Amino acid sequence: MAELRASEPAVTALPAAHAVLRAARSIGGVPLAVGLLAFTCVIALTQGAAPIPVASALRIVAGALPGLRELVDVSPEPEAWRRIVLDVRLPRVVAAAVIGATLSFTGASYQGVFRNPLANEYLLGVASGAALGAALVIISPLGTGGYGFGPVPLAAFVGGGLTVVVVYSLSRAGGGSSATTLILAGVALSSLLSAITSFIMIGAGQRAQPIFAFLFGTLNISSWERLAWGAPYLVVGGAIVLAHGRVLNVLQLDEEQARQLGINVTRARLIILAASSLMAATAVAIAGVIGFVGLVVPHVVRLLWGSDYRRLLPLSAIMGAAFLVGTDVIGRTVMAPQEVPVGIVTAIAGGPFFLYLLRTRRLGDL
Amino acid sequence: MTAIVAPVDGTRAPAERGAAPLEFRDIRVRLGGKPVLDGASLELRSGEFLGVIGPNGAGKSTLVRAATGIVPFAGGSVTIDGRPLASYSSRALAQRVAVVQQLPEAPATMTVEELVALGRTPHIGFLARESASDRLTTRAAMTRAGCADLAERELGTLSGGQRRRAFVARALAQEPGILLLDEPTANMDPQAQAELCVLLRSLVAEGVAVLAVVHDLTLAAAYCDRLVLIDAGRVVAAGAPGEVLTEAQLRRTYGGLVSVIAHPRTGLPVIAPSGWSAPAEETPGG
Repeated sequence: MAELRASEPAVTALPAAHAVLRAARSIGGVPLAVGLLAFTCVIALTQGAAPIPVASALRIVAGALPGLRELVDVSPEPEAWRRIVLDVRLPRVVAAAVIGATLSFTGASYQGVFRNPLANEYLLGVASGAALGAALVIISPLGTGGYGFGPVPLAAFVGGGLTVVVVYSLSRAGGGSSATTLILAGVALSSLLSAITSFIMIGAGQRAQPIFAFLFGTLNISSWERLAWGAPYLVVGGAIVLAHGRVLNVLQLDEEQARQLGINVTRARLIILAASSLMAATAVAIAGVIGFVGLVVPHVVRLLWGSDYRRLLPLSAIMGAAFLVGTDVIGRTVMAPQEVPVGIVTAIAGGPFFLYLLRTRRLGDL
Repeated sequence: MTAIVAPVDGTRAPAERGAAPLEFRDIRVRLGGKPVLDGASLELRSGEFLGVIGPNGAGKSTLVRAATGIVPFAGGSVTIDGRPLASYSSRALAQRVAVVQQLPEAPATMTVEELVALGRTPHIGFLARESASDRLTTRAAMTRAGCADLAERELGTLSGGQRRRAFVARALAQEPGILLLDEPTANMDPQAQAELCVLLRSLVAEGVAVLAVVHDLTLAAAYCDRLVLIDAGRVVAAGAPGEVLTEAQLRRTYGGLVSVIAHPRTGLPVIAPSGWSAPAEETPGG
């Protein structure tokens, strides 16, 4: 009975928004999110410098899948199309989906752990910590030939993880984890780390080039190998966080209540934080700094389908995948052949939308 | 004469028979360097409704928080069913003790049913989902606390009294043997206050030990089995309502602006304001 939710009038300043909300709620989370993701993926596979018909693109993808290979005849499709779809667009679509899902999933998880609607991997300094970690290794003798493999992602993970631990302890030291202390600690540490990264880049000259890729966030450098490298971290981290879905629901109450309901709050927070930071740092290691996904997408999901973390986490992941696949298409087509880094597109698309949310619904309610 | 063999105190009786469900012994709590509880000793007995009363700042809420280890104590001990508080895991403790805080926080978009279902947390395994019986218990708790009709409502849309009922329902869903409430009737109309007290009495009848911090002394007198009067972190009186709520006692702890009269029908103490025309000599300290 979504219509009976009394908060709805506040959400729906506009009749159109009201209609969209009702429609989205009546369709249900999983079908709508999966449908959106499928739609954006098809667009991403067919659009670009060489437009490819939907049927051809789907046939080529199906022809490459183990289970369907025998059933599909891809011989009528031009070899060039096959190369474009399988070697250029598909890895990028999968990368965008994985990164979008991860950023959005960890955004939801951070917001849950900190009970703060503004928490995300960037505000908490995970991204700048990961970037600094990566930058240090890139300019060191260890970092050879780009930053995709070996010690660089590990350094990004360590940098990101350490940063969130420091931010968390700083905010706790100020007497409880108040939203303001947390945000101030995150912003201050983030600025400091970014400044150090900039300093390193100035000193590094030509060798700083890969660091730029981090800071703008781009899916252009994605490859199957890099995704394969990150997959175990994402799977393990995701499984740990998902297993805590019920605990995250309890953590939405204040700490005292969570303890009185039998949750070991300190331990639960640390586990969820560590798992989320592992995932976030992995995402940054793969695709660099892509903002606003982790902030906007979970809020949209909450607005549409409520804040039960057992639904919120997976739905955020699917919606985040759709969002980043979609924005990446925009990024590479809007100024073609010039490519706009996806991080810029997500900020341009996400910023105003977030402001709209602010206007229509008090953030504290999210 | 038939011998009664079966225990009379219901299914939620503590494992260790004889030990008080909850006992504070000489408990001392310091907050911000100041003593809030200064050697308070009291016990909550099985099958009783104990009211904790006292002036503002006496340490009543701290007592409730100390009972579940939320505030660390500087001295003394808390035992639950005869075992020290520290020997309980947070989960085991939550299976035994439920708390209704005075002003609990919860997301405004959480529905009443979602909130009440969280009361099942200590009974559900880490990776398990709510069973059908968990959902039944949740449902029954809402019905009993009078908020079943609010199940789909978001907390942000409730009145103070409705919100309180939702949190009481969550405590019921926990199926505790010991229920602690901090000013459960605050911001409720007289009918709702009485309904809540009747609910608490029915829990007591089932063997639940109930401790409530109550500001409304008349209400406390009408529904509690015993009262404990706390002042400046110490227990200054304990016993049946009629023994604790004497004018002399109240004058010592609250001051002289209240009078105790007898309820015309029940004879229980009714605490009334003395009124502005009270004799000058009854105002303490001049």
